[in-house]
Amino acid sequence: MEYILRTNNLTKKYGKKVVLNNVNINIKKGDIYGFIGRNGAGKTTAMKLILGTSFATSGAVELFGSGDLNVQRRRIGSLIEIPSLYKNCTALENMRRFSILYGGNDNDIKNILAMVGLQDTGKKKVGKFSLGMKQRLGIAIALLGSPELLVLDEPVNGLDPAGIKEIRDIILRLNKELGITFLISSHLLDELAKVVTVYGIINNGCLIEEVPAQVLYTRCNNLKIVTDNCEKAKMLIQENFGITHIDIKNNTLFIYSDLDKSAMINKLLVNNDLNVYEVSVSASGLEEYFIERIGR
Amino acid sequence: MKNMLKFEFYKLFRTKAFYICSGIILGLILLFSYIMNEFSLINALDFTEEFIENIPVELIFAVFIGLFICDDNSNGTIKNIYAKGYSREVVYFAKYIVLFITSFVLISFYILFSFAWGNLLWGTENYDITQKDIYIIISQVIFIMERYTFCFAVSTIISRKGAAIAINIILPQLAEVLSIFIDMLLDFEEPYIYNHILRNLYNNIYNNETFLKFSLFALIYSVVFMLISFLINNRKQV
Repeated sequence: MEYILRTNNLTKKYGKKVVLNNVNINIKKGDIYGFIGRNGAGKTTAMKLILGTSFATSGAVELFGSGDLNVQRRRIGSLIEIPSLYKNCTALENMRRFSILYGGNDNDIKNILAMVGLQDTGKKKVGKFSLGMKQRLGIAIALLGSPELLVLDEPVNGLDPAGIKEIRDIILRLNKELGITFLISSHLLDELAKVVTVYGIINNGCLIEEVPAQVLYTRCNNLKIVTDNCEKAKMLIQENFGITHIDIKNNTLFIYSDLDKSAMINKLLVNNDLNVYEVSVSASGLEEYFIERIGR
Repeated sequence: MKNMLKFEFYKLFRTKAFYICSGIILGLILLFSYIMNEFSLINALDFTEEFIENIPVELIFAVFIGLFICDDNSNGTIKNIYAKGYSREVVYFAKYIVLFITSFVLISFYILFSFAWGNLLWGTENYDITQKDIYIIISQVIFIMERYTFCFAVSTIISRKGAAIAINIILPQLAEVLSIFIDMLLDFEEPYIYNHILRNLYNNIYNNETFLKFSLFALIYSVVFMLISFLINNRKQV
């Protein structure tokens, strides 16, 4: 398995305060890694250590399988906290300046600006851009030089719903079409859930768990079936659909995978002379799961 | 390093402050020539030396260097540079080299321009260039380059435009006053620290020995300023 980014016991202390405690992040090629945690949990600090804008107290970062970080960082695009831009310059001038360091020619700049919808900003200075436009320009700059990993810290912060959708579409397109790997932090969990393939949950500087989105989805959602013979129903479902992750609680069946087969399961049970009183999908949601994991 | 140098030069030539500050000095040369003409000063060499003595080029440099060096920090764009794998050392030296070359070229140009302008106004006949004249001109270049390193160091450490400019301007004056105060406290027979402030060394150049002493101290001060700012910059987290 090709890892794009791994951290080994990454720790950051400010004086006696530990803001990041032995964090081990593992991001595979093609992942959209959602980094979630409360304010001050250590998300931005971890990203800064990965990008080298801040220094780790201990631990190590490995990028693209190498410890030669400054060389490997050329393959990363980033947007940390608020977009860092030359406010007295136009979008084009900002792109031109950074293209000297990041790579990319005028044609690339034009294409990237079009991709983020900033191709028609003309002579308007970046200082007069809306927050959404600045965020998009920040992403455009991060895309210069064809990065293989994009590190985005709160990329949809302060955006309106349309702006959020635009950023989401860009992320999905870049991931699918160009195979770019993402490390994204956000407070908007439901929004993050629409793009993320792996979650990293961080709390008080500790990475609590890394979990694939599919696994988390099944943990958050289940198919609830109320029938007159739960044991028989469980056996039938296992035999016919190969579903193993089934629980029985209070004469109710809970199925944690293959939720899309509810109609077929219902038909199977009825055809086998079982009375089915209720079939419903119960979704607790990412937010509840997150709160449960980090504690209130 | 090549990319960083290209990046810094590109930014420099697109910075309005660069043209404004350069233009102000040129304007001052022209204005000064008008004033000197009124005082019936009559040769280009005297005019150049008077310009060097009276126009505070280092103050204008202090403003420009503060604006330019702190720009990446105040915009936060320094994060983008470090995050792309450009080390603090490379960024530091690229900025230093670009501004060193620019400051050197500018001050040399101003001296040559004032001399040429003086020749144009008052003719080329009535002056002889002595060793003292050469000392005055070369030491002015050295003095400005030392002041450049000081302003660069302060701006790198402070990283905020307003504060950096203020300190660039105030600290050299303050250092003179403080040196007198320390000399008084230490009860030297004659001022010791004050006499080693660069401006005083500069004002007392009259032979090879004093010129060499001035040059040596300019170099020492420059190295110290660079070393301090380099070490602090390397530990900065953004």
